[in-house]
Amino acid sequence: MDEKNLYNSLFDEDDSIENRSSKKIGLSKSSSNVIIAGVCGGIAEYLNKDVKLIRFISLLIALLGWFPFFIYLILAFSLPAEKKILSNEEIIRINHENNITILAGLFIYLGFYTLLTNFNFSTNNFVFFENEFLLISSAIIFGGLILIDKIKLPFLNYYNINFIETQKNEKMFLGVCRDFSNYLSVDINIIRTIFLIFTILTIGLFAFFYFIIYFLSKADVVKQ
Amino acid sequence: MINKKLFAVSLIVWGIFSLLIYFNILIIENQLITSLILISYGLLSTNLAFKESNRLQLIISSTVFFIGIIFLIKSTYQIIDSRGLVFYSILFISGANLILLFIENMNKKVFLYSGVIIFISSIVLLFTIEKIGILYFINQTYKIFEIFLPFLLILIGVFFFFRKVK
Repeated sequence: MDEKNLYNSLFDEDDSIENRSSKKIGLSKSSSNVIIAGVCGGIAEYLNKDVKLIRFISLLIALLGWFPFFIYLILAFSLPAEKKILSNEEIIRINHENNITILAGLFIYLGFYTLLTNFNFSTNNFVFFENEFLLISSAIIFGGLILIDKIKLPFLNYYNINFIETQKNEKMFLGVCRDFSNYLSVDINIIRTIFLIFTILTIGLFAFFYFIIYFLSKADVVKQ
Repeated sequence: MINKKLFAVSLIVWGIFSLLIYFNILIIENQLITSLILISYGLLSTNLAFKESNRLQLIISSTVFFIGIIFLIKSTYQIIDSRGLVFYSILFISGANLILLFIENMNKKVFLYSGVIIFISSIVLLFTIEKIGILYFINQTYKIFEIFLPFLLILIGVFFFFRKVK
């Protein structure tokens, strides 16, 4: 046993860079997995759970009204920030994943909201959006916090990262959605979902445009 | 970074104006303020997207701009059939976005042709939809869609939430 290993075995210390960077003393905000302030990321890392599960639970709690938002804000300002060094690729991957999580969260939230209003549930003080004053003041606070860089919304940094995902998706029908997703560097499932919703809302007219775009792109390729 | 500041400033300006309306200091419709903020954010952000040649940003910001225009029309004029507005909006916004994608990359003629086709068909439908008689059909489809919309939103949301990104 060499000197370093002997020291580690005696004092139970692993001096590798990875462990030094990710070693956690207690509950802290995540600096790598951030959507708003990194509270959920920090809790997930502390509990050693999937961050998506923690975020999903938080989203459901957020449906209860304004109170969870204040708890979140208190945690965001009181918890210490964890220092973790990540590679650029990893940051891009996490940001991309978090952008999809934001989109998914919005869908779930709006889904619950419309469900409650459709069934004539009184959403006063129950759903965040219903409280006009709170929504307005939150917008001002959020805007201020973004301006002083206290809140990091990944979709705002998304533009600055030249994210090009090499998608090896198989085409489902003629490959128009796949080509669009590659051209715009967007997740293929988002394009497909938008296309599907638009097709329903235009009572099938968008399916007709799908064929037009396909044949025009084919003609364009032949011309070139 | 500029986009981040633009987003933050838009939020603050919207918040301040809405607060003034909330306390009856400013007596105008909230929808008008929202539309004006969306239009200005969309316009500035589109300009930024062209400068940075960012296609995704271009699509998002131009969509925001057009949504602002729709809100402005809704707050200024009385729209009898708001369901029909969704139908035309989708066609107009899609067509306009495709044309913008062509402007960003002039080599892709497919965007120009398909954009113009969608645009023209939306204008043609605007004048002929009542004559064809599918307006009733559109309304019925939207009524059914509105019932299933929350479930659809939740399902799509949960799917994207727990989907593993490769």
